[in-house]
Amino acid sequence: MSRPRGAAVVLASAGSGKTYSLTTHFLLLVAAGVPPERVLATTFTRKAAGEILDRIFARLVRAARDETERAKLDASLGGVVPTRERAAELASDLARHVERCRVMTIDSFFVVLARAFAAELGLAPDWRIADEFHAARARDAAVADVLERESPERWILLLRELARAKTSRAVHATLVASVRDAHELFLESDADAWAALSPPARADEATRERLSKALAEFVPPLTKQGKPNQVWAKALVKVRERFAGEEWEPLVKDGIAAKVIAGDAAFASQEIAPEARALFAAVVEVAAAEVGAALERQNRATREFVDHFDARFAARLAERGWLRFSDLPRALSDDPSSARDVAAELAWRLDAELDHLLLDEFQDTSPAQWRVLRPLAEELAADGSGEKSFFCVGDTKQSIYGWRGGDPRLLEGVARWPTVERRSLTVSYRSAPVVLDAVNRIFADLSASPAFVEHAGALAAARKFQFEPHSAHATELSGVVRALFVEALAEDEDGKPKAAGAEAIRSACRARAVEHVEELVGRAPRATVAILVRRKAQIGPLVYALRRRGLAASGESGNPLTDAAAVQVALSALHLAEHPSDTAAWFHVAHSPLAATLGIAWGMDRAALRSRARKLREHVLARGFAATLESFRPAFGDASAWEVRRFERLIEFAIALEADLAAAASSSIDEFVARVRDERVEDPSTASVKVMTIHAAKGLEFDAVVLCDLAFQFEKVPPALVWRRTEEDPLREIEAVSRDATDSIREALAFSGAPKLAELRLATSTRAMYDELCTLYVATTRARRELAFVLPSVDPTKRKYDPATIVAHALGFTGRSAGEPWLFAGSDESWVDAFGAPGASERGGEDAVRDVRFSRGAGARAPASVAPSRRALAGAVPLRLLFAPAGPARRRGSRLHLWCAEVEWLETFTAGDDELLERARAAELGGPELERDLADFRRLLRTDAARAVLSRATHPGEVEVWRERRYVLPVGDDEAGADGEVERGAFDRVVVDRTARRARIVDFKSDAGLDGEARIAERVRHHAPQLLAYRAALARILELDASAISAEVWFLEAGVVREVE
Amino acid sequence: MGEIRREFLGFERPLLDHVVERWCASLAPDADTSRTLFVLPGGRAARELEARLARKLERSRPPPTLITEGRLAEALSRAKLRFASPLERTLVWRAVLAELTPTERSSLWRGADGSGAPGGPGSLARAAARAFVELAGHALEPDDVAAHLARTARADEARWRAFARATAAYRERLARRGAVDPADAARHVLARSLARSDLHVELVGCVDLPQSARRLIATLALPARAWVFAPEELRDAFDAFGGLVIDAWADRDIPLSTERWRVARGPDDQARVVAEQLARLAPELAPSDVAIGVLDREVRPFLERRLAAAGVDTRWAAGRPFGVTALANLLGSIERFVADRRFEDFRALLVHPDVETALERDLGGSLSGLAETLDAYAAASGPARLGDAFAPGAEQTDELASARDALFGLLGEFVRDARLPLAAWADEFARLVAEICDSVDLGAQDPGGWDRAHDFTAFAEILAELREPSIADFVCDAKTALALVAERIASVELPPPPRSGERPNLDLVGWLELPLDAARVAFVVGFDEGNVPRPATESAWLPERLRAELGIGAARARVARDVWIATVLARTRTTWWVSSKKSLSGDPRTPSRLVFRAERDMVVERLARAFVDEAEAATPGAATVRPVVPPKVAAAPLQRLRVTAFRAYLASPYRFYLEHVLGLVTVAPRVLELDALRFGVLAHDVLQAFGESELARSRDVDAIEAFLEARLKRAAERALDPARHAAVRVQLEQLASRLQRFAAWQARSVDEGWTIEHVEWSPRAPVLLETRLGPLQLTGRIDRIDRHVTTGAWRVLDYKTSDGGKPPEKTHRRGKRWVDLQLPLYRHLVRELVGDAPVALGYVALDAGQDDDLGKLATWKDEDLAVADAVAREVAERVLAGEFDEVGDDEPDDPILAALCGFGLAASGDRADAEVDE
Ligand code: SF4
Repeated sequence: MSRPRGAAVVLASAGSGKTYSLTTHFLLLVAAGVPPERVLATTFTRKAAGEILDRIFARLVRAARDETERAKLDASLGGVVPTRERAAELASDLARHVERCRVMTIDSFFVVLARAFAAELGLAPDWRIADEFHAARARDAAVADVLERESPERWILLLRELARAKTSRAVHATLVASVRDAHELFLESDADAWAALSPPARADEATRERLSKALAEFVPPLTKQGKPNQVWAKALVKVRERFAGEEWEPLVKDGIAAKVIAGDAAFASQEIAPEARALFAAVVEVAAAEVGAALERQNRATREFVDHFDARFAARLAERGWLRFSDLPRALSDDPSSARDVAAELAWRLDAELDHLLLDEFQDTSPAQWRVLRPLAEELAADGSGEKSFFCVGDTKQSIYGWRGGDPRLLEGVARWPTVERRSLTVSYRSAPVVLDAVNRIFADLSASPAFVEHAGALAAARKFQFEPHSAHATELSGVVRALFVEALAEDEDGKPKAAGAEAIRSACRARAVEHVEELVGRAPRATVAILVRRKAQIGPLVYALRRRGLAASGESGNPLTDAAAVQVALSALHLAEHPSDTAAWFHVAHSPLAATLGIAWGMDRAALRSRARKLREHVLARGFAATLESFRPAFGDASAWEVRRFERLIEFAIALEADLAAAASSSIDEFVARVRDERVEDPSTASVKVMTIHAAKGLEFDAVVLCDLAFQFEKVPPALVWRRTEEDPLREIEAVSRDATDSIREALAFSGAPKLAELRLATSTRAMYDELCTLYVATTRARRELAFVLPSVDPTKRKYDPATIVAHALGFTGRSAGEPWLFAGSDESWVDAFGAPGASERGGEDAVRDVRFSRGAGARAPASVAPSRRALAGAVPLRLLFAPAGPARRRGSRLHLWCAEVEWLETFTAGDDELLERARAAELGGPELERDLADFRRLLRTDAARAVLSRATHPGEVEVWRERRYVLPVGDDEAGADGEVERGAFDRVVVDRTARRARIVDFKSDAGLDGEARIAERVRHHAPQLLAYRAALARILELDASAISAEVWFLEAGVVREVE
Repeated sequence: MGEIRREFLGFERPLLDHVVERWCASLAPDADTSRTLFVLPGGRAARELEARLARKLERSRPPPTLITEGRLAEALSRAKLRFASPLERTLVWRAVLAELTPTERSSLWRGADGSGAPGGPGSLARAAARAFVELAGHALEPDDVAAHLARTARADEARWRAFARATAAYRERLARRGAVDPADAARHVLARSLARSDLHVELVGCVDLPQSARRLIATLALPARAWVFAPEELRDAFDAFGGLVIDAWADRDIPLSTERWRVARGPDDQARVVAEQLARLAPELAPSDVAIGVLDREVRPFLERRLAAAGVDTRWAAGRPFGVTALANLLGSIERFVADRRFEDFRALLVHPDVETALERDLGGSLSGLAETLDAYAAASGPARLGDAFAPGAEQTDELASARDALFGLLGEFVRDARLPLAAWADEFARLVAEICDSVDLGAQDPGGWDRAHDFTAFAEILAELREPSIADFVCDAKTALALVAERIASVELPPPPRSGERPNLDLVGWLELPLDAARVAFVVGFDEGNVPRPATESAWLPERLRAELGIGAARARVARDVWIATVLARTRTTWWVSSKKSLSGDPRTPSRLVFRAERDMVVERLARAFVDEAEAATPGAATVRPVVPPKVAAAPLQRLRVTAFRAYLASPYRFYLEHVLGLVTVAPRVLELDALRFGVLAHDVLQAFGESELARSRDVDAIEAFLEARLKRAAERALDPARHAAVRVQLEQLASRLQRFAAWQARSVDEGWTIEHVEWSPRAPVLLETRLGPLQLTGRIDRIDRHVTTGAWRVLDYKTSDGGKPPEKTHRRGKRWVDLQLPLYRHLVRELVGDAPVALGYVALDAGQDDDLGKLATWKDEDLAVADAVAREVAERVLAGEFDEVGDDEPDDPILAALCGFGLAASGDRADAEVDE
C-alpha cells in the first residue's frame, strides 16, 4: 500500500484508540519509506509524547517477536508488514536514528522554533523559559513598577474602578489578582474590545428631573377595594429614594423595576398599566445608563492598568532574558518573515522538510498556538502530490483545558476544511458495555436534562456538546455502574434536620468512597482502582483515609511537599535561619526531631538561638540546600515511611534546583522555602488504588473508577471578566471584554437596548460549562469495568446545576437515599471474578546497597600533582596580598629571573642588550622601566654573588648546566606503576658534576627589603621547604645522595647567596 | 609539509600505557625529550599520561611537554602569545558591535539596531563571540559563509557581511593591544609564520582535532605522529591525522553487551544500579580499576548519595561552578543591592553571615539581632528601597542607620555612584572582599579550606583580568563592573578538592574522558538519547543545514565521535551501560540511539527491554502514615485575658495556645504593603489623637478632615519609611479617604448629640470574670466611649479598618453561635465608668465601601448577651483548665502556624478546602 496522503481529522471518543490511530499513521509513513525526520507529531504533555514513542516501538517490537502480533499490526497497516523480519527491520531502522523521530510537545516544538528564529524574532540571544515562580516574582515587580509611576491619587481612582467602588486595603494583592485575570485577555484584544459595551446614553439633568417628578407624582394603582395598593406604595417610596440617592443596583434588582425588566404583566397582583410601564422603563434606562457608564469606566481602568502592567512585565522578563511558554506562540506569529515560504524556511532552520504533521489532542490547542501551526497545516493539507499529509486527532468532548486557552472549536473548524477527510471513532476498546450505556445515557441528550433548564450557559454548552453514542468493542465484557448515597442532612443545634453543609457532604462522600474501595479491593484485589476528584485538596484526605485502612494508595496529582511533617519542620528550620525572630518557627523546630541536630531548644537563650540560626545560614550558603537538608536527614530516622519518602523528594527538589545554575546562584532561603511551598510534587508508586484529579487522569484508564466529588456547584465564583470572540470564531480577535455585573444589571442593560454584557456573560459561561461537561465526560470514561458514583441524594424536583444532578437525572436515580444503593440495568457484579486471585504482593522499597568493599587501595585514578612551590603556601595569607596587583616589583623580578636564566656561564655570556630586551618583550615582560632593569641586570652580573653562581670558574672540570629545567616525578616509592600523585617542578639552575657525583641547585628569588642578616635568615627559612624538595627531586633524578647536592638561594636584589640546610 | 605517522595501537591495552611504552622504547639515546609535545584531548588524560611518563621515562631525561588540544597553537608558537582574557574579549566585542551601523546590527539581530539589544547589554556580544569561536575552530571566515549564502541565494548574506566587518574590527582591536583570541591562535600563528620548527608533536587519541589545529600541524618542520586507539584493520576509518573519518563511524554498529545494559526508572534508580553492580564487582577490584562516566548531571547527586551510603566517596572530576560559591553569592547580593537598592537586598546583605561578621568586627558586636531588627522594620515601615533616611519614629531607626553606615563603609565606591576604570574597580573588589573575608590558607588540604583557597585564587585571577592594561581604563559604573564580574564568575569551574583519606574513592568523569581512562571497569550512567550524542547546539546564526553545507556539520561529527568512544569502551574493558526511562522531573527518556547500533535481532531484544517490558527495579509501594500530634509545652496558667483573645480561642483553642499562651509571633518573608494590623494601627493612632483633640467636639467637617489629614501625614512620616512601597503610598491615600468619610460621620454624630468621653480607655481596677476554677482578669483597651449630651446614654465604639465593614452581629455570631465576644465583654470593662447604666455597643467601620453611615451598633438583646457571658465564662474555664487540644477548622495564613496546627499534612485526616482547581 502506498503512504497515507492528504488530510484527515479523526474525532476519537474516549477509549476508541486515539493514540493508536496516530501511531498507525506514523507507522504507515515509516513503512512507506518516509524519513522519520519529515514527520512532526505533537501533543501536549511530555508524558503523552513519551507514550506515543513507546507505543510506536512497542507495536513494532511485539510484531517482530510474535506472529499474532505481527498479523495484527499488518492488518492495521494494510499489509505492509508481511514478515516478522520486516517488523524487526522497521523497528531497528527507527531505533538507530531515534533522534529523527520528532515526537514532542507542542511547547517544545515552539521552543525549537523560537531558538532557531531567535535572531529574526528579536528574542534575547540567551533566552530561557521562566518558571512559574519567577514569572510570579516578575509580576509582583511589574505591579510595583506601575504603581510607582503614577501618583497615588491617580491609582486610588483607578483602584476604585477596578474594585467596583471599593478600595481594599490589600492594594498589591488586589492588583496582582486582577492582572492575572486580565493579562491574557489583554494580549488577545485591542482597545476597542474593552469599550464595546455600548450602554444606553446617560440621561441629562432635565430628563432626570422630569423622571423624578413623574415618580413623585405617580399614584399607585387602587386595589379592588379602591384603596391605594400598599405594596405598590411602599415599593414606590423605595424607588424614589433610590432614584434620588443614585442607588442604581438596588433599584433594578427588585420591586416594580424588576418586574418591568422581566416583562411581567403585574406587580403585587396588580397589573402594570402602560403609563406605569413606560415610566419605570425610563427609570430603568437611566439606571442602566449609569451602571453601564460605571462599568465602562471600570473596563477602561482595567485595560489602562493592564496596559501599563504589560509593558513593565515584558520589560522585567526581558531583563533576564525570560520567556514564558505562553509567550512563544505570540512571539512566533510576530515573525516578520512569516510571510515567507513557511515550509522552506522551517526546512532550512530545522534541517528537515516537514512533510507530515500529526497533531494529537487537538482539542487542547489554543488559538495562539494554532496561528503558528496553521500555515504549515494548510500547506500540507492542500498538497495534492500525495507526498505530504496532515493528520489530527482529538475529541471535542475531552476539552478540559479551556482555562489554559485550549479551544475545541478549532477542531471543529479543521474538520470542516474541504480537503480534509473526517472520521469518527466511537467504538471503545476500553469500557464494558454497561459503562458505555451509562455514558450514552448521560451525554446523549444533555440539553433535555432537567438539570439544565435554568442555566442558559449550561444549556448552550449542552447543545454544543457533540456526542455520538459509544459502543463497546468487547460486547461480552461484564461490568457495573452504581450509585452510592450519603446523608445530605445534618442536625442543627436543636437536633432538627437541616441541609448539611458542603464540607460535611464532601467528607461523607469521601468516607463512603473509601468504604466502597475497601470492599472492592477485597473482592477484586488485582483490579486497578481510581478515585477521581475534581479538586486537588480532596486528594490528601482520601489517601490518608485509605492508608489508615491499610490500603496501598497513592495520590497522583501531586501535593506540595509540605504534606509531610518532616518537610514542614525542615522548612521551619530554614525560615528560622533567616528570620530568627519567628518564634513560631522556633517552637516548631524545638519540638521536632531536628531540635537535637540543630541544637535548638525551646526557651534557650536568644543570643544562642541567633547564633544557631546564623550557623545554619552559613551552612546553606557554603554547602547549598541539598547538602543542608541531607544533614537534617538522620534526625528523621524513625519517621514514618511516608515522611521519609517525602523528605527524599524534598532533597531531590533541592538537587534539581541547584542543578539549574541560574536559579541556584540567586536562590535565597526565603525563595527556596516559598518554592517548596508552591510546587506540587508527585508521589508515584505502584499502589493499586490511585487518587487523582480528573485532569490528571486524562489519558489513563482503570478497572474501576469511583467518582466522589460530584456535589459541587459549577461556577461558584464566576470570573470577574466576561468576553467573547467575533462570531465565536476562535481565531478571530476578541470582540468585547468587560467586567461582569450582577444578573439584574445585565438584565437592566439588555432591557435598555444594551444586550452586550448579557451576551458576553452567556458566552463566557457557556465556555466554562462546556469545560465542566468535558470534565464529567473524561471522568466517566476512565472506567473499564466499574463506574461508581458517590453522592448525596438528589432531590428530583431541584434544578441544581451540578454534576450530581446531571448524572442522577440522566440515569434515573434521583430521590434515592443513603439506605438504597442503586445499580444500573445490565450491571453484573461478577466482573470482579477475573480480578480475584491476589496478585504478586506489592514490592516494597528496595534495600539500598550498604557496603561496597574493594579488594585493595583507596585511590581513584586521576593523579593529583603537587608542586614544591605550593609548599610555601601553607598558613593564612591576607587576602589583601593575594588580591594585590602584580606591581612593577613583580615584573622586575620576573625580568631579572628571565635574564639570569639566559646565562650559561658568565664568561661566555655574550647576549647584547637588544637581544635581551627582545626576550623580555616576547615573554610579555615589556613595559616601562625595562631598560633600567636591564642596566640593573648588567650591574647584577658584576656582583660577587653572580660570580659565585654563574662563573665557570666556580665549577672546574666537566659539568653540565641545566637552566629552567622542568621535572616530573612520582610521589613516594611506589614505582611499580600504580597511579598516584606526581610532583612537578622546575629548577632555575642546576650544575651537575657527573664525575664528582655532585650537584648544585640555585634558585633565583627576588625578595625585596632584605636589610640585615635576620631578615635574610627568615626568608631562607621561608624558602627552605621548596629548596629541600628540589634537592630531593634532583637526588632521585641523578640517583645521588641528597648530601651530595647543595641547594642555594640567590637573592637577586640583595645580592647574596645562601645555602639551605 | 611535515608528514604524520599513524600508529595503530589496537584495543588490547589502555591507550596511555601503550603510548608511553612505545614512545619510551622508540627514543634514541641522545634524543632531547624536552622537545616533544604530547597533545591530548583533555586535561585529565594529560595528567594521566604525565604520571605514567614520570614512572616510565628514564629520570635523566627531561620531561616532554603535555598539552590539551586547545593549547596547541600556543605551544607551537615561537613568540609568547598574549591571549585576550575573557573579560577583554567581552568588552572588545561589545565595543566592536556598538560601532556597526544600526542596519548592520539589526541584520545581526532584530531589535539590536538601537543602543540596547534584546537580553541586555552583552548578550549580542556573547552570541557573536560564540559564532566567532565556532568559525575559527573550523578555520572559516564570516565572509566564506556570506559567499556561500550568496552562491546558494540564501537570505542571510547581509548578516554575515556585517559579522565579517565586526570580526575584522575585533581582531584589529585585539591586535592593537597585542592580544589574540585563543580560538584564533592557530590562524594567528600561521599567518605570521610563528610556528616553531624544533618540536616533535605526538597526537594521542585526538580523534576530532579541529581544522585550525590540523592546518598548523600540517606546516610543521618535524614529522608528527598520531597514536590511534584502534587496531590496524580500522585504518581506513581514520584520516591522516588519526582523526575519525566521519562516514566510517557515524553509522557503525557498536559491540556493547546486552547483558551489561540496564534500563532504570530514573536518576536515583540509575544510581542504585551502579551501587549494586559495584558492590558485586568490588571484591575483585581496586578503586583505581573503576571509572564512572556521568553523562547526565541530574544523576550525579544521586550517585554521590548512594555510593556514600555504601561507604564510597566520590569526586566530580569536572569541579564545581564558581557561580554557586558563598563568595559568588555575596557578590550577587551586592550586585542586586546596587542595582535597585531594594530593602530586601539590603537585608540580604546585612544578614549574609560574612558581612555580619565583618560589621560586628567594625561595630564591636553591637549588631546582634540585626535580622530581627530588619524584619520588624520591614513589617512596620514598609520600605521598598534603602533611601537616605529611615522612618524617624521607628524603634529600629538608630540601629539600622549605624548598620547602614557600616555597610556603606564596606561597600565603598560600589554605593557611591562612581564611574571608575576597571582597574580601580578591581582595587575596590579586592578591598571589599579582603575586608569581609580577611585571609585564606592557600595551602589548606581539608575540603572546606581547599575550596576556599581555590575560590579566592580564582577570584584573584579575575581581578588580574580587570587590571589588564588593555581594559584597565574601561570606565564604567558599579553596576556594570559587578555585572561583568558576575558574568566571568559564571563561566569559571573550580577544581575538585583532593581526595579524602581512608574511604575508597571514585572519580565521576565526563563521557569524553572515558576512552583514555585506564580503568578496567567502567560505568556509563545516563546513557540516554539527548545525553549522548548531545544534540547540536541550536544556533540562531548557524542552522545545522548551513553547517552541513559549509562542511562543518556538527551533529554527524559528534555522532561519529560518540560511536568511537562507545566502541572503545565496549572493546577495551568491562563496561556497564545504564539508560533510563525518566528524568528527575518525571519526563520520559529514551535510551541513546547508540544502544541500537547492533544487529537487528539484538536491537529488537533491546527495544523490548526499553519499550515493552517493565523497566526493571521496584517502584516504592504505598507508605504508611502516622498522625501528627501538635506539640505542647507546659506553660504558666494565664491570669488575665484580653477581651479580643476570646475570638481566637473560640476559633481554635490550639492556635490560641500558640499565640496567646506562648505568645508566638510569625515573620512574613516578604512585605510588599502594610498588613491589616499595621494599617489598623495607623488609623487608630490618628483617631486617638483626634479624640484627644479640641476638634473632638467640633461639627466642622472641613476642620476635622484637615486635622485627620495632617495627623495621618504626620503619623505616616514618623512611622513609615520615606522610600516606602508604592502600594503603601496608595494604602495611605485610601486611609485618608476613609478618614474623610469618618470626618463627615463624626460631625453628624456630634450633631446628633454624641460627645467623645474617652479614647483608648482601660479600666483602672481589675475586672474579674468569675469561673468555677476561680477568677480570670479581663483586660482590654476601648477605642472610644461616647456619651449623649441630652440623654446621658453611653455607647462603646470600636474602630474597624477591615475592608468588609461587617456589622457586629455578623462578626460576633455565626448562626446562633458566638464566635467573638469583644463587644459584649466591653460591657464589663466599662462598669467602673458607667455603673449599671445600659451601654450601646458598636463599630465605627472605616471599611472599603462608600457608605456614609460608619456607625454600626449591635442590636443584641439581653438574653443574647447573657449567652455571650456564659460562653465567655466557659472559655475562661477552659483556658484556666489548660484545654488547648482542639485545632479547629480554619487554616492560619501563616504556613508555620498552619504546620504547627497540622494543616496540609497528608496525615492530618479529614480536612480539605473548597475551591475548584485544575
Ligand atoms: S569566603 Fe567565607 S568568608 Fe568570604 S564570602 Fe565566602 S564563606 Fe564568606
